[in-house]
Amino acid sequence: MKNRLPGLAVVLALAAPLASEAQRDNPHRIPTNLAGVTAYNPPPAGFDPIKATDEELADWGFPPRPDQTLFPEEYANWVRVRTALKTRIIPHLVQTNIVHGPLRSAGEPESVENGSLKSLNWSGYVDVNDAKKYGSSSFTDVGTTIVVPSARQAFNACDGTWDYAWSTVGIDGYKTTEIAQAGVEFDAMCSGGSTSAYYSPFYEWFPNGQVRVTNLPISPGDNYFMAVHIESATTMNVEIGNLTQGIFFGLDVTAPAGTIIVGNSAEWITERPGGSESEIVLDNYAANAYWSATAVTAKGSLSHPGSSSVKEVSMQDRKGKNISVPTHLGTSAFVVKAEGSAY
Amino acid sequence: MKNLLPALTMMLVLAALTSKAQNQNPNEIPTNLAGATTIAAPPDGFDPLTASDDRLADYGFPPRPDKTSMPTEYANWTRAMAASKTRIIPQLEQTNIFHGPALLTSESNTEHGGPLQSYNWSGYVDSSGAKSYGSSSFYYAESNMIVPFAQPAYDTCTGIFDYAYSWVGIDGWSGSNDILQGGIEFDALCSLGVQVTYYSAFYEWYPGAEVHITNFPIAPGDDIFVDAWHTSSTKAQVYLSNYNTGMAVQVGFSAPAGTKLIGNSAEWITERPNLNGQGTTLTNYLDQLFYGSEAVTEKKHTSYPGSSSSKQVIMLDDNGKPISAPTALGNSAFLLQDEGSAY
Repeated sequence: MKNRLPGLAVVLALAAPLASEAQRDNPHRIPTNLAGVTAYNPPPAGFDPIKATDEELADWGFPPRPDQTLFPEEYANWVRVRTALKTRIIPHLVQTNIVHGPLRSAGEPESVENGSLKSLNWSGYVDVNDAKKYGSSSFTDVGTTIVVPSARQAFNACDGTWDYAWSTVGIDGYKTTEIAQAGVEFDAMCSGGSTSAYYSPFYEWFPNGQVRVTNLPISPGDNYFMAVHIESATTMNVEIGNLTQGIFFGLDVTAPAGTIIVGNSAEWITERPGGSESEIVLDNYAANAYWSATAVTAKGSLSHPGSSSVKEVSMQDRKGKNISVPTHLGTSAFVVKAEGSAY
Repeated sequence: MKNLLPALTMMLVLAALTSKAQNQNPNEIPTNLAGATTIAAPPDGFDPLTASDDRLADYGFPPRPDKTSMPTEYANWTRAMAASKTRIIPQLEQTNIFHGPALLTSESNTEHGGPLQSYNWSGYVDSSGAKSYGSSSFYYAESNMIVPFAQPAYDTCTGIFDYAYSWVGIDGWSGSNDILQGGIEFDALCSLGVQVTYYSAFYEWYPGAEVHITNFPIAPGDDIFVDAWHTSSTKAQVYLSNYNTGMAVQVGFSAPAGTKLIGNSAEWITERPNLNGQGTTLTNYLDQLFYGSEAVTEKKHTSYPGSSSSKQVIMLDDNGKPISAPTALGNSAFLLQDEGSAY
């Protein structure tokens, strides 16, 4: 018995509905068009997530319900999201070769300017903890609501190439090399004076590439809910929903081979991918607003972008100029603004 | 002399403001609407960040917050001016839609604790204590706001237009019956399963009716700056800038005959208006973000939605049920969310 207790304690701390799902065979799970990724069937007519038990919620692939007494604001937001998202779809997935990856510093690692960490690829807020491996202090949930921005190239730029931006929530990627994330992509191109834009929801478990979801409608001005829920060190549940249109999906993803979650960072970020030599060009999204942004650890600690443990991150171009900078709006909201060469 | 001094003091305080009204601005040009003027783009090389206050006024720019005493507001103004890449000559359209003073419930009129309830307003209102136009009067009100996607309440298709307006304004509260205001309109209609939307920038000096600015494009997801200010008790200007498109517009106009500004309230509001003497139904806008919201009095006292003297206002439908409620996001931002019959 002695050796079993610590394990049992962890399971209890993780809250049984969260940890057990990954291990239990779930009849509501169905395959998607992408190997290894499962989605959830729509629940039966009359299923009310607000009244459902925690176990029923987990069985049908819904993110966990915040405790109404301990976290009244988060519970109210959860009810609002669950009320808006009426139609669950089976996501159609397209694997891409775009990889996002962890935070990369601009200049010296951890270098700070005006209170913000400088990064080549991230802008927003990152909460951190001291978890060394997946356990009770690990972040298991991160979520937010955003407005899909209208994407363009920088003013006066019309160079015939695509510029890109992603608005995401994720776990890990600050102190670790792997990152599990979900969000929306908003890209822009201008050629010969005419402009194009591309919008898509996505998820990614780095080092695997980004997977786009092609059948969830998305337009500028839509309110999007996005949540990553870690079910075990090697499985995550992703839910993305278009609150404006009331359509959403949930899916479960297994970690890339050899990758496991540590859970020592949770982040809400607007970002761009890049390599060791250069980054892709950030598009001009003007403002990207986040609210009801939360992160929760396995033992139930709640944090927000405005929590004292959270670090602010500003994105810079390779010339050391800011191009994307966040500003707090109270505790659980913020706006990231494009500037400099991105504006 | 004794009797002259108070008057002289008043004149000095007001001098900077009233002088513009008395000295005709040579840059003002007529618009297509009688009585409304505009100011064309400043000459190439004109930099609003370095221009004097007088030169700013000459070219129709909104008042510049003091850089030292209001650094955050100054930064927001700077961003809005930098976004004003293309000044347009407005095309104006007079409507018969009225955005009148707050219609408070009888319970709210007693102003006992908690949010106040209104049939047409939701948001925040601050009071200056001014009894008549003078140094305590509000001088300007401004905010950024992200254009929401407009649709009817979920699962409804009534064949009649729903309306919503987000604006900044002066007066319309605690006994002042005029309102100087500027902002955005977002309406939705569903008829036989087909959805139609309408978006427009507008200004109004109630009891005059709303005027659309028809050639200033706004679209869901766009981030808009709006500032409404006066140059005398009967002359005012509204300035809008679209951060996403880089377009800006300025309109100068006069109070309706017999109306004078008092300046006893400033507000940041999402509203359903009065059309043909009837209250309209509110658009299902989901979430409306206001940020960088402030108002400044003639003697440079600054108000915010989060100021201790500001009142929170919840909108009710005709049946007395809440349909639009604000949540503070720090001091100078808030999120309005619709609910009930509007949602």
